[in-house]
Amino acid sequence: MDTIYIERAVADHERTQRIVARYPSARCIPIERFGDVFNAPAQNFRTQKQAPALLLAQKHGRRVLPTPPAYHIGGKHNFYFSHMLNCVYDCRYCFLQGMYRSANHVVFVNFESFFDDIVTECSRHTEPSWYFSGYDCDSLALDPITGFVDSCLDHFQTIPNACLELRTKSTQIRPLLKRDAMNNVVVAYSLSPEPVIAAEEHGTPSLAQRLEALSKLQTQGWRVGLRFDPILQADNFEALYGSFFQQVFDSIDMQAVHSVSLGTFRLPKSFHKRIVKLYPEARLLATELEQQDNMLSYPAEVESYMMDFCKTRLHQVIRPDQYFPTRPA
Amino acid sequence: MPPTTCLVTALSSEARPLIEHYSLSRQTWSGRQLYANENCLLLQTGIGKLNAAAATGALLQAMPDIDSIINIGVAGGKDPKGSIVLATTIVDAGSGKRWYPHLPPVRCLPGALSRAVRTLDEPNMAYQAGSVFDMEAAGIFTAATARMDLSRVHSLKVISDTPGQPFTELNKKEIPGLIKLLIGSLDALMLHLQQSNHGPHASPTEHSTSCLNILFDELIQQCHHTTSDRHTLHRLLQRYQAIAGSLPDSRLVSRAATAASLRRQLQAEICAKPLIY
Repeated sequence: MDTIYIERAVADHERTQRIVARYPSARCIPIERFGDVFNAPAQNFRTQKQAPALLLAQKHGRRVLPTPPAYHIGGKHNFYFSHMLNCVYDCRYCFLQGMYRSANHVVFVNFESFFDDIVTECSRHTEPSWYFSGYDCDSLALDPITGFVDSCLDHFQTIPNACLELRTKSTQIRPLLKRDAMNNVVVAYSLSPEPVIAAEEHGTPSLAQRLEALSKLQTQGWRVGLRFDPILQADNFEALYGSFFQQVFDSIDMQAVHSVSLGTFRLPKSFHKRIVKLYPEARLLATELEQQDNMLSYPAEVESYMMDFCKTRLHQVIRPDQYFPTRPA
Repeated sequence: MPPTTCLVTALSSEARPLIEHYSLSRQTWSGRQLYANENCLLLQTGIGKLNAAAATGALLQAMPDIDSIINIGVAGGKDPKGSIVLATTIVDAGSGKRWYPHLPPVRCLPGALSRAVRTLDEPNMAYQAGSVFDMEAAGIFTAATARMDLSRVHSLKVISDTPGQPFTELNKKEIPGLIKLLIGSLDALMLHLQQSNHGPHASPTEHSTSCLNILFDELIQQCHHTTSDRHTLHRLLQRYQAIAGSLPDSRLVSRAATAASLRRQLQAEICAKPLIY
């Protein structure tokens, strides 16, 4: 990190001080509100992505939000929260590229405010409620800097009717391995075939590394989830995803997996347009997509075939109650 | 290829050492003070943010190939005289508007201090820690960011006046010597801008873009294309290039008699290209 923007309101926050101390040669720039930098016009997402700045800020307003209807893994009450905005990885299919003007990383250092809101939300429900971290960021990738996982797990330990999903592609699992597994936490990995990772998921750990991390977590008793989303269309689709699933099945105890979700590539139309402007040469964005409502996705018959193929493979090794399609099959 | 970086100064005493150092020669352009060599331009705008905005805006309108602007000049501040300052924030003191340039890595300009640059309408002696004064940067940023993004516009200053030696005591003959102090940092900044424009993560190469544009221009001459047709055709060519790794054979696609048939042909060819991971 070369540049750290710090909201004046959190300049003295203990977490701010700790993060800044990790980067003694970084230039620290005081700001009033992170939005002044993050939402400014005339930014170049693509350039920033190569050397993003870090913004340390306080999250105001609603911190815990309901998830979209299909975004769940079996719970009745589902919410997401984002202690960070943006991701260290550079996946060409990621909606964040189309959502934000900036590729800089925002860390909201007031984790405790999120946790307070989660407790408040929990108290509204008699059944367990689910909280998804990793919707607007990778839950683990920046953990050595933020220390989010320890804070979050300490908190979730005290509210057993709240369940947490940490969604990631990262192998930064040390804070998880250092502690006892928790029954109300699912560590969910986004997985793709290695050729897809190489072509579209720039800067991410390889499939083998992710599977190794998953295996370690499973061995230590952590509940893990597998997220096959987005599935990408290819002319070698069957061979690509057939061997990929086999590699996953050979590495993980599939019966012990908490949940498996599946979805094909899709993007809101406006996001797709913005991402095409950023990466006109991207092969993934050049494929044939159709518009359904405001979403662009593969033609219905293609999507249906892809979902059926994957579902059939998955159902050979998992139970129906483990399966959560994010797109109807 | 015309130069794509433009240095912008207010005063002739700021411009002169740069003109000498980079061997720039005077250009004839709209009565403005413009200098150039094969690598860069220098625009001298005159004092004040309005002059700076007007001259920068006019230049960018006339020369749209310019893709980066570096404001060079003297500034007042609490840091020692001769300190080099890279602007982290530009503040228009009049309107309160701010700009945050996307800064190069610290290692690029090791000697430069990181400071906010406050653009004032009148000279001022209320020097503040953490920021420096100038009279042009906000004008230059106003004009430049209308045409380019914040990673391509920077302001590099040298401290000329301080609380101990305020601007009223500044001998203008000192300015060229002060500007010479920042030439090393300026070279580093220009190199960074050049590399970030052509590095491995830069946008599609000029070559591939220009090949696509040549074919596009050729095809739209063949038959009538509405504005919407042109946008669609351009994107179809980009998609073709992305999937096939090359452009379609111009002899084949140029046989299409209408814009619609050309699009259909390209669409069919794109769908027929294998997509293998």
